[in-house]
This record gives sequence, structure tokens and C-alpha cells, in this order.
Amino acid sequence: MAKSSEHSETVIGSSIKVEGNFVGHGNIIVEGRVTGSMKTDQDLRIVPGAVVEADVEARNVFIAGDVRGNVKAHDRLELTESAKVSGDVQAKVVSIGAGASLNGKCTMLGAEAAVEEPGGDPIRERAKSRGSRPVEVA
Amino acid sequence: MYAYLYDAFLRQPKFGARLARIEGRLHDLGIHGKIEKLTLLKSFKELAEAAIKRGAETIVAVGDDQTVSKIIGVIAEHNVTLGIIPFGKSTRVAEFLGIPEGVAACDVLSARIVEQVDLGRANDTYFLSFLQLAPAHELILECDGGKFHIEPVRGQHSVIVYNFGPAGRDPRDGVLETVISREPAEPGGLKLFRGRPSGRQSVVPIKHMRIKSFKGSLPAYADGQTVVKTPLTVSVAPRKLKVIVGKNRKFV
Repeated sequence: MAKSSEHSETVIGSSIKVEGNFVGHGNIIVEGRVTGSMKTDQDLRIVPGAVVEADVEARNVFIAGDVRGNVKAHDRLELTESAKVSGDVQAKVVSIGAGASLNGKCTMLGAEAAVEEPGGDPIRERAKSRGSRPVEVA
Repeated sequence: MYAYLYDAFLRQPKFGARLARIEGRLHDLGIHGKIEKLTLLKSFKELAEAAIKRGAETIVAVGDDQTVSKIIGVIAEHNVTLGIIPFGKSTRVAEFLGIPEGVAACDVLSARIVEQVDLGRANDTYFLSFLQLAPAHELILECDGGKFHIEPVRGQHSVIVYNFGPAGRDPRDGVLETVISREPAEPGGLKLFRGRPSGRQSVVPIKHMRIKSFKGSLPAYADGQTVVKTPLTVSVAPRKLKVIVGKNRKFV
């Protein structure tokens, strides 16, 4: 039996386009085209071939398609090898696959900014004053 | 007080014995009431309104999905409860609500588990299960007060707005599921919700939507029978209908 608390899932198929400010309360899967903005308190998945010209915000964001806009993931952001993102991204955890394209600023959310000794790394000092942590690339 | 509305097809002799058993069981359970039969002279709307005027608090539709569909508009506008005794081939609504066929349906009525479920509304017409548009090339769906709109691209599309889903989507969730398919889809086809829709299908939950066609007026069918035409304002009427359900209903 279906649970009464289960949110409806949205699927934007490849045969439609959505324009405007879309706000959902369940998972969203984008296979087609979206323009404007998109927000949900659950997960957002943008599959290969999808084109999103919008700012997006979700709990977890999985990108395998084309996003032209800012991305905010309250928990995890994952970019696969086919992902192309032109815009700023924010997340607590970021995973970027080899071959993904990201053109924009990347800001890590949550956790206290790193505590630095005076005269320490200037980049960390600027990040601390903004209340965020810089991305660390291995 | 109960009132029983029989659909016209139940006049066929083959239903006589089953109806007699059901009427006997209703008597045994103490929930018998006035029986009204649909005729050429009286519509279900008139029969239901007359029963409500006489003081009926529960209107029982005896028939199939179309029988139920004919009555819900009247029941939704009055503070009465819908019961169902299913007969005939098309009884998906009763099945979804956990109401078995035959004498067992009387026991469900007697147990009186009442749920308040959503109704869909297309202009002035209520629908319980689905609203289906004729396939069209050029459509625009303006959703949730114009916050966003949807346009099909490439080819002919069918649009079906579900309140009850074949996969048991909760009819109390306050949303309608709009399914947009590139090729025409069968309403109630289980494949629509089994697994994930293919790229040819989209599923968008909405509370309010305006459907417009670029080329003339398109017909749409509420619960497979009542015809309405675009431009359409489709909305959910949350918890609008009180209905007696069975323990085996497809939602908790």
C-alpha cells in the first residue's frame, strides 16, 4: 500500500519543456528542458541530455546533463563525467567525476570555517571572514 | 439513513438473483433503505438530491465506475457520505477503495470506515479517477497560478490528470498527477506507473492548472464519460468527498 506521507515524484520527460518557477516537495528527475528556477526539499536528478537553464536548489543534486545556472545542494552535489555546469555551486559534499565541466565558483556549506593561526593561509583567512570553507583539491 | 441508487443496467435479469441476496444481507445488517432506480425520466442527480432532501446521510451507488462518477458531483456539494456496491465489468474505483463485489460489499458498508478523499475538478465538473484530454499537437499547461507552464514539444501528446492512480497514489495527498505522454496512453494502464516513466512520459504533480489549446477547443473526458472542453481550469478539491472504504483499500 502507498504510504500517505510519500511525496509525489516529478518527471520532466524529454518531450516537454517547463518554463517558470517550479517548486516541488518530492524528488525531481529532469530528462527534458527547464528554464527559470527549480527548487525541491528532496532530491534533484538531471540526466544526460537534459538542459536546465535555471537556478536549482535541492537536498541532494545529481547532474549528468547541462546546467546553466547556480546550483545549491543542502547535502550532496554529484557531477558525473557528462555533466556541464556553468554557474556557481554550493554544497556540503561535492563529488566531481573525471571529465565533468564546472565553470563557476564552488563554495562548501555548513561546518565551521577552519580556525587558522594569525599570519596563516590568506585564502583560508578570507574564507573564514565570509563564513565558508574553500574547496580543497587533492 | 441510507438510500440506494441502482444504475439502469441492473434491470437485466442476470443481475436479479445477486441483487436479491444483497438486499437480504442489507436487511440482516440493519442498513437497508429506500431503493431508487435510474430511469429515462429521472437522472442520478435528481434521485440523489431527492434522497438527501428526505434525510439520507449515506447515498450508495449500486453499479460500476460510471455509476459512481454520475453521483459524486451531487454528493460533493452536500454533507453526505458515498457508499458503493460494485456491479459490472468496470469497477476499478471500488477495487481501489477496497470494496469487494457481491454480498461482502454490504459488510464493508456496515463496518463504515469513512475516508475523506480528494476530488478533481475540471471547470464545473468533478471527477474521481481521471481526466483525459484528446491527443493534441499544441497545448499549454499553466500550473499553480501561472508560476510555471509546460509545453509539449515535437509531435502529438496526450494529457491525463489522475486523482486515483493505478499504482495506489494516495487520494488524500492534495495533488493531482498530470501525466503527459508523447503517444496516446490508455487511462488506468498499469504500465504508466510501473517503474519509471520513459522519456516519452512526464509526471507533474499539480494543485491547479489551466489547459489551453492553440488550435480551437479540445474535448476532455472526466472519468471516461462526462465531456468538458478547453480552455479548462483543473484543480484539486482536497478531502471533498466522504466515502466508505474497505480494509483492503490501496492506500493507508
